Amino acid sequence: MITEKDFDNAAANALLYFDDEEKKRLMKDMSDVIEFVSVVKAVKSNKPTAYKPLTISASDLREDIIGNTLSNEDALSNADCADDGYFVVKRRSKGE
Amino acid sequence: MSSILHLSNLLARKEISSVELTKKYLSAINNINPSINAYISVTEEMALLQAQKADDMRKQLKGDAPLLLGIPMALKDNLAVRGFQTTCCSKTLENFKSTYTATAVQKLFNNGAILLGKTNMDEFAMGSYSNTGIFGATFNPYDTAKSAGGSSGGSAAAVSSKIAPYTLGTDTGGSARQPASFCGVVGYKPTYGTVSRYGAVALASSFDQISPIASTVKDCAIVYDTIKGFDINDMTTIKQNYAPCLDKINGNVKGVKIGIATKMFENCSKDVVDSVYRAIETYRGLGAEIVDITIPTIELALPIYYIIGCAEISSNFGRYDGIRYGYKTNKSYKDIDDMISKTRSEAFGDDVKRRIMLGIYFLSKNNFNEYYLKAIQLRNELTSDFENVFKQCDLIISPTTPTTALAFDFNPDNVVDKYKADICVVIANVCGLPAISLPCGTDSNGLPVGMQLIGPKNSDSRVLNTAFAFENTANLKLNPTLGGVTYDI
Repeated sequence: MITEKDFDNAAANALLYFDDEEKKRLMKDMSDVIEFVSVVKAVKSNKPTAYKPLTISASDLREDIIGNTLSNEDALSNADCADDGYFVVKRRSKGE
Repeated sequence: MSSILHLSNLLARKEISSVELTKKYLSAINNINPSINAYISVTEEMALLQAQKADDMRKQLKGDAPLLLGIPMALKDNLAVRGFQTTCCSKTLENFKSTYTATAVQKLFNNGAILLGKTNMDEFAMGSYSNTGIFGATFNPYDTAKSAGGSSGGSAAAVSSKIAPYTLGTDTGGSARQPASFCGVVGYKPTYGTVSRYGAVALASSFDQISPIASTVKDCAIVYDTIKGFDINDMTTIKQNYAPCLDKINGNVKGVKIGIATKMFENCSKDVVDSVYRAIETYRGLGAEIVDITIPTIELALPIYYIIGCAEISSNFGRYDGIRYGYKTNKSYKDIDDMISKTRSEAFGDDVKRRIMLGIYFLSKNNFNEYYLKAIQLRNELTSDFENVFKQCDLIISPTTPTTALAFDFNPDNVVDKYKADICVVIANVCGLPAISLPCGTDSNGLPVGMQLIGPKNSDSRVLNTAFAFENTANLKLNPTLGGVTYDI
């Protein structure tokens, strides 16, 4: 069962707002899932807590060489607001 | 018949041109799609241009044409094509245009594939019914009152209703195999790391895999052979020699050991169990050896999947801030955090929010060790168990899903009851294994039943060959109510 405090902390970290009805519904869903997955807590395991790579080359990082990447124009093409090659974000909507 | 091999033969024999073929599919989409909502966009102009190029190229190649040259296909709408929208069926990316093309898609284009359009899916591939996206539900071609499955429901329904010869979906927790099962087609999730995920919108990165959906096993092999390989843009792709799987498909399964874990048949409907056991008898008749197996940690697969999956989702979805791309709130805001919170709250659907919230809960300071780290340990445990099981057998057979296609009003009070239907399919994603779903019969209402074959890592050829052996022997004739392009030549 998720507590209201835990829910509010998670929502703040997730950068999500919920109205009361949404919060009530989601708290129930989350509690159901948490109860279902809590079975893992009781299982003992000696396996490493480090992620065992699924593929043989997962740790095989590419060399640090500058190559072709997104152009500045492409990178900005989906931005809501861009100017002079930069993303633009208004600092405040009031008092500025 | 509209298999890739069949269409390729027709094109090679000049019985039809690629332009003519593409026009037939575009016309069929026009007629059929309004009934099933498999496509959310149709790229007619690009398709006809590509088809003309394919016809020109075929004239130059004189017999050495790639099998996919001039054959149309469709893509799940979480796969990037430069200059075209990739919405993931979310308000968040409703107006997003890709600035590059996914590696797997580029490989198809390099081999002459023709893009018919993008297919419907659950929002950001989170769901099992293809009904959580902004474009509405996809309906099952066998019974439009039923779901096509998800999250690649549009891709599976398009192949099933013959308005695409093949499609690419993605499979993070069964999202290609489950809809393939519901729609009576073949869905193939390859070994993790053999197909680049570059250009596939990330969901849970250590599970995500681009997956072909087609009408036959050989077609899946053709598409897989085309898209697999190391990619410098995806560090999880494996550096190895990739021999063609198609060459190894001969239908010979004599001596192949097929394992049955009775746990994977629990809670399945009688029609599903009976169909899969009939398939097992077919394999026995073909000379395969059937062995009973036990996988001690199998019941932990779903909890592991949801803990790690949600954790990865919460991390990956931090990118949707409304600044660099995607939906941005129109409301006033006091600071950037407020703007991002309003943006995300307005744009994400319920399933997306639930998984992000769960992920953050599992990764929080108080829960990290007992949920996330434990799930990683148990993922390693489960992977070891499967490695041991594959010392006793070559493949595992199971139902793909406990039931045939479900009605849209399946809405249990406890959300976990929805998740439980994924028990057989998530295993392959948690352990990075190749797995295929193919039709093995129908239920009493004529809806397709899917069976699944899972193999050890890098046994893709074996999985495909074993699937083909059944398909070739059973020769099932499934007939969806809605059907598009067929060639009975």
